[in-house]
Amino acid sequence: MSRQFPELDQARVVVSSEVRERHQAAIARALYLGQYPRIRRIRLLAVGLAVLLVIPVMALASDRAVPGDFLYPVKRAFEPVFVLFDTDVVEQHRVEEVEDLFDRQVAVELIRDHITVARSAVPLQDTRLSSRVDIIEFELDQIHSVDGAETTDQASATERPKVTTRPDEPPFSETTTTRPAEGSDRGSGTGTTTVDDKAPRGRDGG
Amino acid sequence: MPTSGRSSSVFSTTSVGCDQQLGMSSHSLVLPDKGVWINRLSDKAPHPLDMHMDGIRDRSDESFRAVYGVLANDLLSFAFGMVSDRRTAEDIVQQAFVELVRSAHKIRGDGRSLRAWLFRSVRYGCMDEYRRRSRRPEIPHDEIPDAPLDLDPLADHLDPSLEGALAGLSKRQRTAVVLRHVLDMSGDEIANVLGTTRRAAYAVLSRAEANLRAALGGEE
Repeated sequence: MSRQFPELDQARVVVSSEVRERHQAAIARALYLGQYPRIRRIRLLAVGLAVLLVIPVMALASDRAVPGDFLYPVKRAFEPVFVLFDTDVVEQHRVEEVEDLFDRQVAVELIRDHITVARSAVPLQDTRLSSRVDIIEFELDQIHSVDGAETTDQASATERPKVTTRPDEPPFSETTTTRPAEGSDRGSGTGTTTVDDKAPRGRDGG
Repeated sequence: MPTSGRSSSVFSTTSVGCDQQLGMSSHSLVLPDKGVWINRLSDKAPHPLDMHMDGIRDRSDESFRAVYGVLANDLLSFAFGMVSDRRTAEDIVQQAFVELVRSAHKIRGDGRSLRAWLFRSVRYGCMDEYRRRSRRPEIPHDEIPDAPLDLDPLADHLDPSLEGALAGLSKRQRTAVVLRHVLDMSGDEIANVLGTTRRAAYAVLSRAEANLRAALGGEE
């Protein structure tokens, strides 16, 4: 107790139990946070935010990926998550991939392989999806039967190839539309028929 | 963190050669580029907080609880005497211990040094409160009671007449008066908190007592 200034005794206080608990909790929290230096906490927070932002972006970006694309493995990795929201997302993806591969005019073998994958994924009773695969397969067969092309970029189901032979004549690669040079050997004709009616006079002449 | 501003030592003082001036037999250690760390008290009796110093440096929860138990009431009384608002004083004390946790790995010295460190931390918290209050000036109005704007009506506060008398002192004078007459601190301890010499601390205290006596005596 101050003898000179007894008024100052009112400043002498005691910490209440409630305040003591609050202070102890703050100290405990500071001790816990002190285990992780601020810079490390900031780095962890930055990495966490980056992961949280990158994951949905990658999921969206990989939605239209097809076999051979860089993000295709990401798409397959996210499918178990998408299944939680849409049970037939796997079947839809396989069918869409077949259609996308066909649109991109990739190698026929790749398309046919993926058709096999799609058929194994799509249930037989799902006629809606299986019919889409059937269409693609039919178009592939049509293209292949027209010119025997190994890739769809040489022909398409909607465009007729610029052939110079009739469908029942030998394959396109065996025909020629070039005219024999004048004065060439008459007997060296290719023996082919072209749609070009202009035959060298030397051939028909005698 | 609490320093005199003239040295980077946690327990920095400005009294190089102080022991020679005062003729005290004290422990002193000269740290290059760190100023002088002096245990000002001449007696070599162990302090109750000495046993917890290692635990403080190791951030031991038990040690922090023990130090809090020893110093919390004194620190709160000091802060209360400085800011006259109990709720604010409690927040300042809490912040001082949180800062101690953050600076635990840099703590040097014994229990007395730790005590001085905490009181300096509380003092700086009070200075921050003064600056915060000065940025929010009072708006005089006939219908509003004449009371400081920042007083929490639910918290304890000092008697207005005492607060008025203390408000007339400088911050250093108020610190010296509260430490001396509320907490019964010695001149050495007051000097440690103020970051000055013992002689300067007594000079500040003397002027503070005279001013306070005049202020309180004039209102009677």
